[in-house]
Amino acid sequence: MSGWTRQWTLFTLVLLIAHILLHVALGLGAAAPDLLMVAALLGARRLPTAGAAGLGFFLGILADTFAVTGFGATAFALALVCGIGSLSQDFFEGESLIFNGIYLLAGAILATLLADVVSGRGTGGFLPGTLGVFGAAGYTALAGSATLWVYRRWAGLRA
Amino acid sequence: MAVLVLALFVLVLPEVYQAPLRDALRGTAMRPFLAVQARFASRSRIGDPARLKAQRDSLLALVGAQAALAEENRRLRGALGLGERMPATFLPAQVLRIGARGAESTFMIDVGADHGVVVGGPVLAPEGLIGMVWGVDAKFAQVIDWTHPEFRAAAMTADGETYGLVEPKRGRFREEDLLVLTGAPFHSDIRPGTRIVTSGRGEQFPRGVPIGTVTGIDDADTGWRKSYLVRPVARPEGLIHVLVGRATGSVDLTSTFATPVPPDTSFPVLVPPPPRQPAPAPPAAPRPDTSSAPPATRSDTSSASGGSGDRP
Repeated sequence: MSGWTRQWTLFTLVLLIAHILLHVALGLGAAAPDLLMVAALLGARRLPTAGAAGLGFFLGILADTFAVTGFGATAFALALVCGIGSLSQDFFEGESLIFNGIYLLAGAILATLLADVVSGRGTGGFLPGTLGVFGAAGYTALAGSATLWVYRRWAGLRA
Repeated sequence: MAVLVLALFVLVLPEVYQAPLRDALRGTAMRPFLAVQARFASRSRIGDPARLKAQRDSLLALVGAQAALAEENRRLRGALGLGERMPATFLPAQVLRIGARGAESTFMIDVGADHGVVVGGPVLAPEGLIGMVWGVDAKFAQVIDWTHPEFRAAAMTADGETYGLVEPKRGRFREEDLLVLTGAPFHSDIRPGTRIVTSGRGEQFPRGVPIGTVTGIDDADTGWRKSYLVRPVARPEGLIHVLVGRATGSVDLTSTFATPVPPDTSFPVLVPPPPRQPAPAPPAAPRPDTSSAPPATRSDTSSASGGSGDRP
């Protein structure tokens, strides 16, 4: 395992544990960003399509652990969106924080809507639902950009 | 592509096949985090002693009243030569909030199969019904509250005149969520303010647990049935402790919750009015406010006409 792969795996693990700590151990809910989605979407840009879909599926299954209805919906949505995210490497080149922020925003909106549609989970009325999806996706994108910045500082210092 | 097919396969699996996978993940990967919250919650919530004490006292009162009833029931059944009925004991549990997607309208409790909690068991707040147990593992259980789309409860008016099924009705925002009493006969006339309690039918929930208060008519299917909006007595947002039924069964908790029958639905025609000292009006004359008063309740008319529905 190369140094870069080891660093990225560690980064993904930290995001995964932080997400579960914030959402399950502390029960913060929407107050905490969706770091699982950040880990899946950022990882997808660095993996081949099959690997990205597999990462999305694994993280999605973990996210669905407490879902009463629609178990597997997030896994399906993240597998699909991460697969698309991996394919996007061929069409979009960019490592800037702004590009990654927009990529995270689009990916989070698509994954959330897809998961809601296939699971049949309603989000209340149209306006609160829309605000909820876009607001949460924006929050995820901001948090993802911040963690990516921290990761780059850390990786740069380690390299 | 294979991963997508696998994901789709997991998604469309029946619940009975999904449950082991979900339970395995909860029992292994998630258990340490749940334990952390249980420990964290028990420490941090000590900081609000007044609220904690109020909820504890309410729950203790419920348990105490139930114990007295159980004792009385046991004595009476013994006197009648009847065997012991399946006990419906309740145990206190701490509420653990899960902030994961898909877990909206649910919460975890820190008791599980090891403590005798079973799927479908009733979950009560000090004010009344709050939800039911949806999934159980050894140490924890998952509860759906009444705002969850899968929640249903057999219900009736407090006077037992009208029966139906209570289900959630989503508002635009979570704070606007209400319950709906569906399946009431079209000729029923449940007035606003009437209390709704569990009926005990189907033996899912104990009988007589308060659910809410009717606020008005929600819908009326032409000639068949009516639906009534019900404002719940207990809201799940601020819960810290609950009582969990260790078994489902036909138990009557009406006296435990001390749900008096409201005067507008309490068979008023069967109770003679108290004699008045002065007699300002002749006995045959109608009461002065009759013309402006709302029409007679269903219990009035049904009692006068010999009852309706499944009453003889």
